[in-house]
Amino acid sequence: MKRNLFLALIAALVLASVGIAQTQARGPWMHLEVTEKGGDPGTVKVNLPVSLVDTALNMVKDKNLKEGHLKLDHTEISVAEMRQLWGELKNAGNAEFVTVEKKDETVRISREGNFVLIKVNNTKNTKNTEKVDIKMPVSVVDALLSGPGDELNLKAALSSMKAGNAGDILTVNEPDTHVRLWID
Amino acid sequence: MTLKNVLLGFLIVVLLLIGYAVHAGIAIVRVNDPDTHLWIPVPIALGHLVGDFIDLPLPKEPEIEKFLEYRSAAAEIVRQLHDLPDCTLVEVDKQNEKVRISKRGESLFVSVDDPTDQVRLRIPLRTADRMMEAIDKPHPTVGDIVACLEWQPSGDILHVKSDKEEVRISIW
Repeated sequence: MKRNLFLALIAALVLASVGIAQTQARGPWMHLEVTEKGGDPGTVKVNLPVSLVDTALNMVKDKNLKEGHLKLDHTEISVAEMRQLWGELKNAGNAEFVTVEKKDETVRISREGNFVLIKVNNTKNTKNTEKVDIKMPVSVVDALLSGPGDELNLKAALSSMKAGNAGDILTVNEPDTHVRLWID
Repeated sequence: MTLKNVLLGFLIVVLLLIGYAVHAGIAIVRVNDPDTHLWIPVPIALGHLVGDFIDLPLPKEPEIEKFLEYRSAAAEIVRQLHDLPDCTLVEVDKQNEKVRISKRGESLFVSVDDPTDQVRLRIPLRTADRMMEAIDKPHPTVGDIVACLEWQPSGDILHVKSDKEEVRISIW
């Protein structure tokens, strides 16, 4: 009896350790795919665990990017203004917040369920339409705007992405370039 | 004690040292270019022992000094790499350039191909772990760096090949 109990205990420990190792390997991954068709055609694919990106962010010590905080300079709308705007729009439910329709450019910012959608269509180039689609979970936007002053909190955004599988985050369709960033 | 016993003892010590040196690994450096053909086998244990007497001026180099600021994050990245399954982390596929960084088993592989050069690099994660520990010391020696290669799986560590030149460092 004692022997069986001991064997069961060993088996449980082995299974638990395998489970822990698999969970670590199974955490969310960030994928980036860039396809270029222009002068220097080719593809770039990056696949990294979000936790590794998080750690790598700590290594970057740039003038505008320190400890996972990105300082935005010279933008049309400041981070403080974004934060204020987001504070007011966040609880509005499913709605189209912003629509800008110009002769050759359309910008739409809306909320659908737990996602904020930003769609930019640029038709300046008559041959090909330039499209940028950003789909970001509300919790990630919250985290991104949680930094102080004019800073975007990338580290908090990554933690939020880690907590839930965010899916497609960004797609850019330009005449010669296709960019897709997603988490699974 | 007879001379025979002394010689026998000496022989055993020498054999043990040779066994240890061979088991710890032998780094083989090969350089081939139109003017030079080098083949240098270096017992890693011996390199470790001799290298311990040579201080590396690492922390004084500006680039190294800058890297040392990130050593804890770099060590954490290496630690996380151990937990990853086999995968391709980075893949660049262009007309004239192909780069691939992947993890296979307990090693990180880097391969770069362009029209003139071909580079293959294998970094055993245990070597990277030890390297992090070595550079964390206030006064790392050449021996500390060489010791990172001890007890590693056999095979090429670095292979650089261009039109006229070939450099290969392997461990056996």
